Amino acid sequence: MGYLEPMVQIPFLEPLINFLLKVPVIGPIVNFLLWMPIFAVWFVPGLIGLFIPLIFVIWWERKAAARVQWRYGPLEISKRLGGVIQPISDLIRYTLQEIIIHQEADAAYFIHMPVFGFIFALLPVLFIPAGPNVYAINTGYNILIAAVLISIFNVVVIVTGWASTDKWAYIGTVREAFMYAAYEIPFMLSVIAMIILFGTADPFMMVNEQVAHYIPGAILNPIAFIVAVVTTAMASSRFPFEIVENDTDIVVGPFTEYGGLIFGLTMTMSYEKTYVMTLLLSILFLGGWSGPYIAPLGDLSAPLWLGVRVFLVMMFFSFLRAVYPSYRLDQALRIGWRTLLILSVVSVIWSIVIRLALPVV
Amino acid sequence: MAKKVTQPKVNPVTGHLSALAVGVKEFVKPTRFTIQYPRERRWVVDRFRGFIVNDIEKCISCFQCAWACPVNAIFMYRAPNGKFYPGIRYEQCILCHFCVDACPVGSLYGTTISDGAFPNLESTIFKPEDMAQPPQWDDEAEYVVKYDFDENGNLKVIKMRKSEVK
Ligand code: SF4
Ligand code: SF4
Repeated sequence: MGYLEPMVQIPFLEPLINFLLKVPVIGPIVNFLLWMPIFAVWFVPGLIGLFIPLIFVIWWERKAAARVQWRYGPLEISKRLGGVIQPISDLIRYTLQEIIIHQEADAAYFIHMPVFGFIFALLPVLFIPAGPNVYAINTGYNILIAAVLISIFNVVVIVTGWASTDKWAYIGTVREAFMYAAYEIPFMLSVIAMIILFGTADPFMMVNEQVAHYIPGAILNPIAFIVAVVTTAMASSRFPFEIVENDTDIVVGPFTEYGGLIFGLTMTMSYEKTYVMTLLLSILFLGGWSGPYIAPLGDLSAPLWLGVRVFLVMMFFSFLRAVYPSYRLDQALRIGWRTLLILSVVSVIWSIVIRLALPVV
Repeated sequence: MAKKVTQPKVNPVTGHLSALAVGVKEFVKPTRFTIQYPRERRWVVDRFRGFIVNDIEKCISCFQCAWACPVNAIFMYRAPNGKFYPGIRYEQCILCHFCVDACPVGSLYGTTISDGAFPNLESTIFKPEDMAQPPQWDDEAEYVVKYDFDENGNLKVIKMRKSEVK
């Protein structure tokens, strides 16, 4: 019997894996899970890779904001660990709650859209590699495809709000549509600026370029970096752009009518989007998975270094909650259509100039 | 006299950086502090809005307080002398003191007492006779804690013995 190849090599687990591969029923399952495309989807950068930062970042967000605002944040559950498993207990609570579909809602869309949203928000992960040997699909145009897939997600949010038939959901939906138009163009332009700069849309070659010259993309094109950071905050409704789901004025925007597990899904969606966009940011601007090779981890060494960057950037984005109030919609639109649009065009020009001046990069 | 206030000009770059710096500073060393409640109490200003007392001698039974109350917390009870006197249902009262402002003869007046525990729902309904004197509760507090900021924005916590405060 042949094995599915290539498998992810993890030297320090090698004896265990070799043993399990020989066990009759478990062997093929282990082989399947370690098969590179499946490993990428299930573990890093896929589902498990999402949930570990998710649980930590939700806790960190509440805790850090509380500390800065003179409060304590979650404390009652697992007091000694500072309430770190609070998100898990929230998840259990959501699971046990009743899902209410109110009469006016368009039931089919209402129920299905959060699930689609959850899937769509994670789709780009198929095209974002976590390391030279951990990726699901490699086409050579991965960055472009991922950037486009990120923007599909908004349609789901808009349909969600529309299907809810609710005042707050409706306002939230309109806000989402406005915001989407405002951040999408600068975001795409900043990605295009990096693609022009590196002369490729292949994440592997982008990271290799950054490693080869010891310069992360953020220094090569700082303007594109700033635009990408601000648009990421806008796209994933982090503060100061928490406008779509601003709970102080429109409850939770498009997700107002949801309850139970489905509300849990909608809540995860914005974190998923942060995660995916952070992955993209790390690869484009922060040197991707570059870092010293750790022999016992083998193929997992690169995802570890990428993970460290993703953690830090996500922690930065959630820390913004502690510092900023949120902008009004018109202010955010002005930032998007004026400042960011101009900056992103400048960043594209900057890339072209660098490209012409230093053809080696 | 109306005074025109203009938005202060802030450099966007330094503004954002200083906001983040304040956040980091508070994160590293938060200024938070805890008042150990039953043993310590927060100091409040003289005009703090607490429970309300009615001086029945002065009350002219004009119903203005009941009209003014935004949450309809005031009931007027008929007394043996034929006049009506206000009684407040504290389960509803939001301690806005509109009734105090509305009273034309100053018979209603506010106290700074704001913390008390009611054993049941009935005890939150104050009759005119309950309104005659400030509500009495055991006060376990030994200290009164006041906090303030100096000109650099640093926190000053001042702890006073209860006997020192009024
Ligand atoms: S304090 Fe305000 S809410 Fe309370 S009884 Fe007076 S008017 Fe009504
Ligand atoms: S407004 Fe004052 S005088 Fe009039 S009924 Fe109320 S307490 Fe009495």
